[in-house]
Amino acid sequence: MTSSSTSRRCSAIPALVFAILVLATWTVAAQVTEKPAAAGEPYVYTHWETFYAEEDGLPNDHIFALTADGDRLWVGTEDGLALYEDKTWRSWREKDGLPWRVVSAIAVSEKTGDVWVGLLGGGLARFSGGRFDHFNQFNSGLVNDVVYGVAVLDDTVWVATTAGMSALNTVTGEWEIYTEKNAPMEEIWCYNVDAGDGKVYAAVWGGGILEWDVETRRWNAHRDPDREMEIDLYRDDGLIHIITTSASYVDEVLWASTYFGLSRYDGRHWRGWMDHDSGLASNFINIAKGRSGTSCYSATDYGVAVLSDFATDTWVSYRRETEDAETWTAYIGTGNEERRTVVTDLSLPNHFVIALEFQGDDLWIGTGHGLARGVGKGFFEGLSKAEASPREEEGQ
Amino acid sequence: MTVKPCFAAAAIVVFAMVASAGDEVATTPTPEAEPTVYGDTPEELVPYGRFTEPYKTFFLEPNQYRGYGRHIPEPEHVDTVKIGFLGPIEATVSVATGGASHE
Repeated sequence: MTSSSTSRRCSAIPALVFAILVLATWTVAAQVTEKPAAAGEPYVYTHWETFYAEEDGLPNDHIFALTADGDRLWVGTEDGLALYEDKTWRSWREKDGLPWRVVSAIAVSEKTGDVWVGLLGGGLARFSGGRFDHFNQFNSGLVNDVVYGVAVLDDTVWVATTAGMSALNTVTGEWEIYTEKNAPMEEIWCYNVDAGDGKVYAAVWGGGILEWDVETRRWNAHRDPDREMEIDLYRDDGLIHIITTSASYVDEVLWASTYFGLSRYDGRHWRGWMDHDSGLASNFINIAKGRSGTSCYSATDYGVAVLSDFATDTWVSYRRETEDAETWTAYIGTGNEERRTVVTDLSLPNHFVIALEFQGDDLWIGTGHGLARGVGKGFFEGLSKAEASPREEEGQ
Repeated sequence: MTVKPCFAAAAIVVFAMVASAGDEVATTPTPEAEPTVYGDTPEELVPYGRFTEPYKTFFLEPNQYRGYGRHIPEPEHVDTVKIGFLGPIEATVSVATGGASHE
C-alpha cells in the first residue's frame, strides 16, 4: 500500500510538472493566438513574420522604405530595391541597373504602374518594363539628388529633396521646382511627401507642413503657432512642432509626425499627442501613416504606436518590455493610461522603426535591422463590437 | 527651363578631438533635480514665461539611442573621438535652379 502510494506519487510528480507546462504553454499560446476581442477593444497584431538579409531574400535588412502595390510589396534598403510577391523575393542592386544603392522612398503610379524610386544621394529612378531611367540634378529638373520622399498624384511625380521639392509632369516631361524662392519654405530640407484628393503635403524639417492645392496651384503653410523649438505652448492650437518628419493625408484628414509628437488636422481643428499624454512611447516619430481619418500608425525610435480609435483615444503601442525580452509586447490603453498588455511573437531586435506600410489587413514595419509583417487575421478598424469573451483577462 | 551642368560641392571634414581618459578628468556632475527649463534659460527669457506655463517643455531629458547596435557595450577606454561633418562648406550651386542653393 505504502509502496503503491509512493509509486503513484512518484509517477504523479512528472505528470503534475507536465500539466503545469501544458497549462503554461496554453496560457502563452492563448496570448498570441488571435481571439475575438472584447467589446470596445482595439485590434492587436499578435502574429508576425520577420525577414532579414540574404537568408530571407532581402538584399539588405536596413529598411528605409515600404510601399504596397496590391499584393506586392516594394522595399527600399540601404543596398538595393526588393520586391515581395507570392512569398518570393526579387531584388535589384547597382549591378542590376539600379542607379544608386540606397533606396529611401518608393511610389507606384496607379495609372501607369511605373515604380518611382527615391535614391538617397542618387536622385530619382523610374522602374518600368524592367528598365531603370535615371533622373538627377545634372540631367533633369530634380532640385537635389538627396531624395527623401516620393509621391504620385495623377500624372505628376512629387519628389521631396534636401534642397526643396520637384514635380515632374510625366505627360509633358516638364519639371517644376519649389524652394524658398517660390514657396513658403522657411527651410528647404523636405523630408517626406504625400498626395491625394487634389492635395500634396510636404513635411519640411524645420519648416512645418506645406500644403499644395492642385486646383488653385497655391501653397499653404502649417506651422507651430508658438514658434518656439523647446516648448509646445498649447496642445491643440496647431502643429505640435516645426520639425516635421512626415505627412499622411487620408479621408481628408492630415496626420503629421514630428520629432516631438503627432498632430492631426481635419481642416478645422488640430489635435496633438505626446508621450506624456498618449500611447506614444516616444515623441521621436520617424514616419506616421494614417490608416483612416481616425486611426494612425507612428513609427518611432521606441517601437510602433497606433492610435486605434480617435474618438476614444485608444492606443496600442508595440515594443519590448525589457531590453532582453525575446519578443515585443503590445500595450493597450486609453490616453496614457495602460489597461492591459498582450504578448506578441514579434522578435525584431531593435525598436527603431523607420518605415511602415499597410497591405490589406497586414502591417509591415521596417527597422535598421530587419523587416516584419504583422498578420492581420481578423483585423478590424476602430474598436471591436464583439461580445466580451469570458476568457478575456484584464492585466498581466 | 535651362539646366546648366554645374557641380555641387560637398565635403566631409573629419575632426579629431582628443579626450583624455586619465584620472585628472572630473566626473560629469549629476544634477540634483530634474531641469524644468531648457538649457538653464534665465527666467526672463523663457518663452511666454511672463504669460503662461507651456503645455510641454522639450529637451529636458537627453534622447536615448534605441536603434540597432544598442546592445553593443560602450568601450571601456577611449582616447580619441572622431567627429564627422557632412555638408557644403562653400556656397553650392543647384543645377536645377541654375543658382545658389544655399544662400
